[in-house]
Amino acid sequence: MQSAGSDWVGLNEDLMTCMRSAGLDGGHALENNVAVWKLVDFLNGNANSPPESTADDGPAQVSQGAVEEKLAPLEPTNLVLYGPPGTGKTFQVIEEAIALLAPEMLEGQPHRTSIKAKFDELVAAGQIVFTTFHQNFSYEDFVEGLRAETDAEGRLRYRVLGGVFKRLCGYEDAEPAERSSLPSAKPKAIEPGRYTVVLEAAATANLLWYLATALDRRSVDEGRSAFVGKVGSRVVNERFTLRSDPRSTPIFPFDAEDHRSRPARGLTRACSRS
Amino acid sequence: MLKELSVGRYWAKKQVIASTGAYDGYELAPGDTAPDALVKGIKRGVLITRLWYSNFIDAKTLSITALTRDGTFLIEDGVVTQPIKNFRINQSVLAAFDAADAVGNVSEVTRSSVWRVPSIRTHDFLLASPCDAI
Repeated sequence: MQSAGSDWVGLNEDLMTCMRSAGLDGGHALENNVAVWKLVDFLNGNANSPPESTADDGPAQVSQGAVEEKLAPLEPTNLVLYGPPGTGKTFQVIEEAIALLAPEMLEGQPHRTSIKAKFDELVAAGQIVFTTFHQNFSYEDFVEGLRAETDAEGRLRYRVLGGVFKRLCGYEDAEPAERSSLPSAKPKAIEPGRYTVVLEAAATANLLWYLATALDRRSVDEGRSAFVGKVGSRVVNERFTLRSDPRSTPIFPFDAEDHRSRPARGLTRACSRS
Repeated sequence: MLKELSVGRYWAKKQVIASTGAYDGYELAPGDTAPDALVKGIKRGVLITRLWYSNFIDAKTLSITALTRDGTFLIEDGVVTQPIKNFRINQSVLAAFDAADAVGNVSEVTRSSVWRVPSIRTHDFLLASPCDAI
């Protein structure tokens, strides 16, 4: 197959014809198409290359193992087992979970009790959550919701509690606002002044926005910036490295100026290699 | 060291230089201090969760004003002891980063899910006046 010719539509038509003649299911045209293009990309040596590098290295020599490794993410691990009651879905799901988390357990002819013991161990460790979707199993149980609690003095309180999905994702205690809200009902006034402060990530980001906004050439050229005459010199303490890189942060491919997003180094440690 | 400034389309055309576009998705590299350890060793200080109502006071010193929100706490002898009323801050952002002596080792995703920033500890931060805002 020729790579990246100019006639993409024609090339795509050819590809679809080949797929049909190979007996691939027309009902999954999109998935098949994406998979084939990924394969073409991979064989051309472009798989996982950063957006900056568009050089065509030509067909790469790769081992079969490497191909399987690269293609592995195309195999989804979602699985639906369906069937009438009592036909072994729950039984089977234990084995499937072990196949994902501890495949070495399934080598040879392992005894059912040892598989079940490993499953229970992973449930206890919080790596597996076994849940049944009853008719009354709600969003509040699955993601998060308010839970009524009575404290030692008999007062009713509502606490935001993570559900099974949020717990599984490790996000249950991720909300600083949730930690802060209840005890902050009765704040004490302290005297103003200069303090040593700890800025949570959100507060650091609030300050950093102003710094990032000021990293602008025009305001420097016009003499109204804190960075006049500072390019190439130290502006803050050298423990900080600020950068923007579309290859590691999920930002839009085009920015507010309709420019292709690209890496920037902002400020970096004086001794760093970048 | 300050390495790079962004150049918008308008200024690039006027100065006949290359434009860079407007950067977003900033990452501030995490440091090596566990977030909880940031409060250790502070005899008397303040834990600030978030800021709002912020604006420039003086661009030449990168000074801004803002109000604290979402939980502001007193730190005494290395422990967060109690919630305190919010403050208006007046502070040079450059001075705040310059005086920082510890950076958290965990980055959180903030600002419309595209910035990754750790918590920091800094000194001589001006909590200018108390404020009744919640």
